Amino acid sequence: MNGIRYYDHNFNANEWFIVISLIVGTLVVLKLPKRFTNKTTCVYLLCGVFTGFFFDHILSVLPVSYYDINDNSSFQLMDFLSHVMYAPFSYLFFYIYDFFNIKPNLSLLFILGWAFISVGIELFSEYIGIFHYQNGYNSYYSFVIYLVVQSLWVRFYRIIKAYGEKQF
Amino acid sequence: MSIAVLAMFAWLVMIVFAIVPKGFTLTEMVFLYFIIGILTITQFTILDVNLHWVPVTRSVEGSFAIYICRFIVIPFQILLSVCILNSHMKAKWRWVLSATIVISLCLGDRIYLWAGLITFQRWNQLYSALMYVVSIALVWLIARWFVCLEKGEFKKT
Repeated sequence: MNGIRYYDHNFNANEWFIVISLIVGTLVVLKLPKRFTNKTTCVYLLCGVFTGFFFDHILSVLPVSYYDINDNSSFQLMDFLSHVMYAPFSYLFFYIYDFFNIKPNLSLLFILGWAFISVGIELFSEYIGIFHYQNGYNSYYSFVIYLVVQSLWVRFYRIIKAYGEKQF
Repeated sequence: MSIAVLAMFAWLVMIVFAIVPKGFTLTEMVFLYFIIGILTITQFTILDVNLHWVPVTRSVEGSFAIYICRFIVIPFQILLSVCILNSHMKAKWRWVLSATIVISLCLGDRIYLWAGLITFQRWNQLYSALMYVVSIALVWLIARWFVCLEKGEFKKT
C-alpha cells in the first residue's frame, strides 16, 4: 500500500534477542570495574549507537536499501532498541582495548578479532530475523565495514585519550 | 548540483563552528554530536519512512546531499546554538544568536526544498522551525546535565 515490506508480525526471536542483549549488556557495563570517567563512558557507549544509526541510515534506505531491520521496513521502537544494543558492544571494545593497553602495532590484530566477532553476531542476527539482506548485500560487505569502523574507533580512542579534556 | 550546494553550505557551517569559541571539552562536544546525530536521524526517518510527511529524494546525488545535511549541516548548527546558550554571554545575545541559528536552519530547509531533496506534504516551515527549537532545547538540557558529571582524567593502567 505504502511501500512498506513486512516480514513478521509477532514478538519472537528477534525481539527477544534485542531485549536480552540489552539487559545482559547493561549488566555487563554496570558490573565491570570502573575504568573511565563518567563522561568518557557515556561517549564510548554512544559511539556504538551512533555508528549503528549512521550506517543503517545510509545502507538500509533508498537509493541502496541493502537491508531491512526487524519486522518491517518502517522505523519501529525495536529498530531504535536494536541500535541501542550496540552501546555495550562499543563500550566493551574500548574497555578491553584500554584494559590490555594494546599497542598500535597490535591494534590491527585486535580489530581483526573484533571484526570476526561482529560478523558472527551479525550472522546470528540475520538468522533470527533482525536483518533482512536484499539487493545483493551480504555479511562480506559488513566485514569490510567492521574493519573500517573499528579502525576509526581505535583512532577515536587515542584522540579522546589525548585531547578529551581539552576545552575548545 | 545539489550536492555541491550542500557541500558549500556545510563548509560555511564548519568554518563558523571552527572559529567560534565553544566552551565545551572535546568529550562533551563529541557526546553532544552523537546525541544530535541520533535525534536528527530518528526524526527525519520517522517523518520520511513512517509518516511520509517529509519525503526525501531517492536519487543518488540527492541522497549524498541529504547525508551532508543530516550529518554536518543540521548537527553542527544545533551544537553551535547549544554552545551559545551555554556560554557566559548576556541572556539577550544568547537568545538573539540562537534565534539566528534557527533562522539559518530554516534557510537550510528552503535550500533542500529548492534543490528537490525534500518535499513538504503534511508539513510546513513553521512545524520545521518548532522541531528545531525543541531539538535545541532538548540538547541544551542534556548538555547541562552532561557538563555536571564529574571531571577526571583517564584512569592509569
